[in-house]
Amino acid sequence: MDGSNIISVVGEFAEDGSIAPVTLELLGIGRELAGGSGKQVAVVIAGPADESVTGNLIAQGADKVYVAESIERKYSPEGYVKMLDALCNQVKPGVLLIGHSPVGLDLAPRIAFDLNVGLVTDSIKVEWSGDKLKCYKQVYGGIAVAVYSFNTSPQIVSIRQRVGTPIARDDSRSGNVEKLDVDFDASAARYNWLEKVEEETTEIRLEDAEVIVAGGRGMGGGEEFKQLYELATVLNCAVGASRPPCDSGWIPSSRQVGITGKIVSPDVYIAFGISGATQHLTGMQDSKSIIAVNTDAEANIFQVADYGVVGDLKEIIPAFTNKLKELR
Amino acid sequence: MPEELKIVVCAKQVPDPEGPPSSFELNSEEKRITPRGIPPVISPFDENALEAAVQLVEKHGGTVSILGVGTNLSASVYLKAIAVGAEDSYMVDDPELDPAILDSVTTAKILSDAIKKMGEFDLILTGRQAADTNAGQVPAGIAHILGLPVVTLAQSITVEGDKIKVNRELPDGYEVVEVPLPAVVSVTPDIGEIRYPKISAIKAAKKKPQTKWSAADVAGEGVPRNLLNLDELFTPVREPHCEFIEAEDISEAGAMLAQKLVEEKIL
Ligand SMILES: Cc1cc2nc3c(=O)[nH]c(=O)nc-3n(C[C@H](O)[C@H](O)[C@H](O)COP(=O)(O)OP(=O)(O)OC[C@H]3O[C@@H](n4cnc5c(N)ncnc54)[C@H](O)[C@@H]3O)c2cc1C
Ligand SMILES: Nc1ncnc2c1ncn2[C@@H]1O[C@H](COP(=O)(O)O)[C@@H](O)[C@H]1O
Repeated sequence: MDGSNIISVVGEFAEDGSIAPVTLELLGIGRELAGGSGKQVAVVIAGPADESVTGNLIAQGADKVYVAESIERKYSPEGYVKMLDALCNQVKPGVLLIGHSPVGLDLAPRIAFDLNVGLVTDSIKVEWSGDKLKCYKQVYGGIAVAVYSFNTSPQIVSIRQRVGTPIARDDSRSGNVEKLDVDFDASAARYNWLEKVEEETTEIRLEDAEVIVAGGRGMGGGEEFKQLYELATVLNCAVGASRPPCDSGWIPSSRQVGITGKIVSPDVYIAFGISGATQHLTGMQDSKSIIAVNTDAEANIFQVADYGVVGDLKEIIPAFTNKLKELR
Repeated sequence: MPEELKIVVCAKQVPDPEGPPSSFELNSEEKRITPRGIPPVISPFDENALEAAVQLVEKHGGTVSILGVGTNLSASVYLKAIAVGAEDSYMVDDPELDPAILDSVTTAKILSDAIKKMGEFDLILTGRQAADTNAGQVPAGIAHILGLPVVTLAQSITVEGDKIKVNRELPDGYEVVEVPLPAVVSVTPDIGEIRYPKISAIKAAKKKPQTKWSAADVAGEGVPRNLLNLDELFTPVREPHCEFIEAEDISEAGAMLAQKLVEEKIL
């Protein structure tokens, strides 16, 4: 088998052991790239895998599952780099797709430098141009989009979460499972994972929210965010923010929306006192409906908004909240 | 614990990313972006890296050196950075190092060569990603070339003996990882916003060494290959379509907005 015809996805798992959404998205992209060309979609996973896992991966689009049993499933940079080294040396895939997730954004540059090959990170679109991949990437915070192609193989790209669409699960799909031999001595690792500390919150996660109300520097302070939380209670929705309120400690940084925060696409995104810097728009412009409130009629946020009010949020938020209470 | 912490902060000069989009002039033929009428600044997350470095030497003693690679680096931009609490700065400034054509691999190579020439360090700090490339590749590259461990997305760093503990950002909290020194760490804004230098510090900074090197001055063995091609550079188009809700009185507009969104079944 000519490895250059293999498009390999790097598999990730959620803490409960289920396949991470980003992996399903990448399998979807892999299938699109394979098209009817006879190319194969593979996925490589760490840790011993039972049939339910490999079966799921095949039902979600994989033609091949490479299982690196000797590597612990929980992400360790050194273990995963060794796993991908083995994949690239033994299978020689033409394309390696990695999620731009907390794992992938750490892993992708490591493996690219290890193999001395080119990498495009946080890509928002990939397509063929002849037999070469073209990767679209936002640069300058989203002011421009750059399109790259590779002079090296495998063509490695990390793809932004939610860019890909999983295929409809198909249990009749067939595929092979193969073991991947990886030589790795975990005891020699320098990178030592100690613990995870979860943020204590009862709030709706931004990634899961159908509605997000977000505040920017124009909110003025932490006090004003309380008004936003009150509105969020009425709408039973999540609260987000642009970067300045996070940097100023008005709200935890896990609430930041944007190129270096969360990329969200809820049904409704309501922005209060956010100017609409491209770094922020990148994180929310795919929301179905966008509503903006800003004192500046020229604010960039109105470029992407469906509805807007020009005025002081300090007056608008209470009036808006009260009317919603009445109507809902 | 090293006697005195020696830290290098990789600080990239970029056109002010807070400048309006119109100040980034895009030439799609030449596939380059030219800033118009906005000043050069240190890339924001690199400022966070500098703040982290200054906090660490305040606590443990030691020195901070600043390193930038590029073309037409501004002495005053790097002077301000020194004033925040560094000992000196090193600028590898060369027309060959034009950020418009410099890829992550070449950048990491030159930074690593420069670091070797600068001396021995316990810690190399970078931003999580540069404001222009948005790549987040260089820290892993430096670590690879220098054979050091690297931790990305640090929210905080504590030195314990000859190791560091890093709180690494996760979507729903953080994880704690430990690596031996020397190490490379990329930081997020959670590490702390950069402090304003005192006037006296700016004066004092003028007496501190600012070393300028050409690419040839630092170039070590081996020239990196061109791993990627930039095929196209374009501005995404947006079509404004905003419907504005207007009223005599501004709180009335707020109520009307609610009415509208409920009527349209958006909320
Ligand atoms: C590498 C990099 C990564 C970044 N990543 C992100 C990111 O992930 N997310 C992000 O958000 N930013 C990010 N930024 C920062 C980004 O460039 C902007 O600085 C930021 O988004 C601006 O936030 P803002 O709109 O809240 O503040 P500002 O731009 O200061 O806008 C405040 C707005 O509030 C309005 N306003 C003021 N008072 C009122 C009032 N009383 N009522 C109504 N409106 C009012 C003003 O008219 C103004 O439009 C990043 C920057 C860089 C360089
Ligand atoms: N030309 C440069 N000069 C100094 N530091 C740099 C340069 N390029 C990248 N870096 C450092 O590497 C980090 C990540 O850059 P990047 O991989 O391009 O996103 C930046 O935040 C800087 O700390």
